Amino acid sequence: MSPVDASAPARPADVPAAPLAIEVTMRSRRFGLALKPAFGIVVGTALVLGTLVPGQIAPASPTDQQLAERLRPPAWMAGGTTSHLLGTDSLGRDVCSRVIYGARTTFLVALVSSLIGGIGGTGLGLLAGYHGGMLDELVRKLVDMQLAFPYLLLAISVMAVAGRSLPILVVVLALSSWPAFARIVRGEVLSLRERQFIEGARAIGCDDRRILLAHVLPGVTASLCVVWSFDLARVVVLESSLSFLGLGVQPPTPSWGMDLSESRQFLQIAYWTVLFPGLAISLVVLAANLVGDWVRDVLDPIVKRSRASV
Amino acid sequence: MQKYVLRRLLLAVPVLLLSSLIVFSLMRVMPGDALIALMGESGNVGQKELAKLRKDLGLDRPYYEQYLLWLWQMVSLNPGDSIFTNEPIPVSLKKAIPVTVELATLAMIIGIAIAVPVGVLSATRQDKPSDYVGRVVAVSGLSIPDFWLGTLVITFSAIWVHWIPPIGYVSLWDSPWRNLQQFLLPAAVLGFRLSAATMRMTRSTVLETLREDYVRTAWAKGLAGRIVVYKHALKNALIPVVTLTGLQIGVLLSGAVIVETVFAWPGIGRLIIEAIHTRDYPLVQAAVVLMALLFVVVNQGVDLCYRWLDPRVAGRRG
Repeated sequence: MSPVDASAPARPADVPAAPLAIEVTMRSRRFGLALKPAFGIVVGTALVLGTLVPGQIAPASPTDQQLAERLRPPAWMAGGTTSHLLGTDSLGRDVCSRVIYGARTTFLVALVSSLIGGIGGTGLGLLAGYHGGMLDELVRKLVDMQLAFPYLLLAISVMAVAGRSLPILVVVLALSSWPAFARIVRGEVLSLRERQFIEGARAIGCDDRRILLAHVLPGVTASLCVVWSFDLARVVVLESSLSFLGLGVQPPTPSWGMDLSESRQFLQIAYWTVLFPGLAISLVVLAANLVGDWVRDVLDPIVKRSRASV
Repeated sequence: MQKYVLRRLLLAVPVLLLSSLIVFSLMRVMPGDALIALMGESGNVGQKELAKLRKDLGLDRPYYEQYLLWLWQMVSLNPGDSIFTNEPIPVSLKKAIPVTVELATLAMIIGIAIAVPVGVLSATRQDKPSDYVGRVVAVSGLSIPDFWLGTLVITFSAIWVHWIPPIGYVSLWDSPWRNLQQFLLPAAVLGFRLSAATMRMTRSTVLETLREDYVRTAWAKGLAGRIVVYKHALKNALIPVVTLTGLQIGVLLSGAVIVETVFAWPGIGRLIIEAIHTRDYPLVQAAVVLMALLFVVVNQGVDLCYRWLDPRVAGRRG
């Protein structure tokens, strides 16, 4: 009990104890701190394995159709076989293999887009924050304009006109990423550039490029990690939403959003065809969100200023 | 204040112009002519007819002329007919707007009704079991995609609860009870998605406010816990929550597109998706710009609301 609480007036048990909020149950917090990255590591490892060596893990080919075996339930249900652990879809394709191979599509697309958008946004944020002036004004206007528009609509229109294609999908997703990075980095750089070590670097004759890359950039990496993990989660959802609407990757490439959308009509008789791809999306997004939370908790003092990005 | 409102409204014009320009150029400059795509599928249209149709639709003119013409059509509220159903576009939109507006409004009400109480509960019982439950709900709301949740909700309400919402859309004015039953599931799915971020925001701002000196003073005065939390702390804690709610309107409209598709609901989102599949470009253009307009208008409204809620903002921005 903190001294503040001891002096507080007596109150009924069900009334929230506000000053108690300061007191932190260290044990549970430590537990949370360990649980979040652990979850992230497990899901991350599964994703990397599914991306790099899907053939070694998956029991069958994701595109192999066995019409005689169509809509077979998972192994633990009546009528299920161990050769199709999570059952089969309406074309007799192995759901487990589709989910494993789908990791590659989702993860690679999200990773690459988020990296491109992140690098672009960070670069613009660095330049805008460091140089200020016209460039800063322009970047801020662009960020505001883009954030002032429901991006999914734009993405839908582009994908509809350009057709399903992987490079265009990546560009569309990357374009959705940059404003968050640019905004956060710019804000951090604005305060960093006034610091003495930057002044020192300038005094010993570093040029702008060196100052930005060697001195300013390391100062914003903490925030970048947080923004990036949340952005990854967002891009995964956007990618699967587009695939769900039939505007993502080209079939028969396995994609969780598309599998889910194709199997929707069989949901009443074959829930597994919809359950597992959706579960995969949710787990990946959850892991990315939790890791983002965790990094933010760990770096709290540094990142607090950018809390507005929630 | 009037000057401020006027300035905000003027600021909305470039945003709208830019979005209309983006949508227009997407439809025209991207590879694949709308007309060829449309006619190519039927396969038996001669070059001559194609040229005639192109002329009728004004597609043979230079791009800037087409854009200005289209802009004028939009401003004069006469964006032409759908090239797929031949129905005038304003008629299709007029049917779809109330559906989306009602869905979004209900979703927002449900979202806030879940988020604020749970967020406050979570904050006042930090690190207690109820806080953990609240946080798990919030983080799962952020992580479960709305199209999946929607799909599961439809099926499991039918299989487990044996309840299917009345089929065939009826408007709120004709049959309010039936209409609300129909909107319950889609609005709840969308609202749950929305509530996640708001819940987290409420929790963290309430936690912060509870540590302020004036709240300690309120405790020291001997006020009841309920009054300290709900009257003193919550009022200030909710200001950032209002901002966030404003920012979420984009999420709300994007979510409406998805949820309307999942629930086969005749709103603007579904109209756009269907128009895309039938390559009905005039309709897509008009509907997307309408969505942008809706978004900008609501955003401006939230901004003004915010200024009224927090007088300090007025002082800062002049």
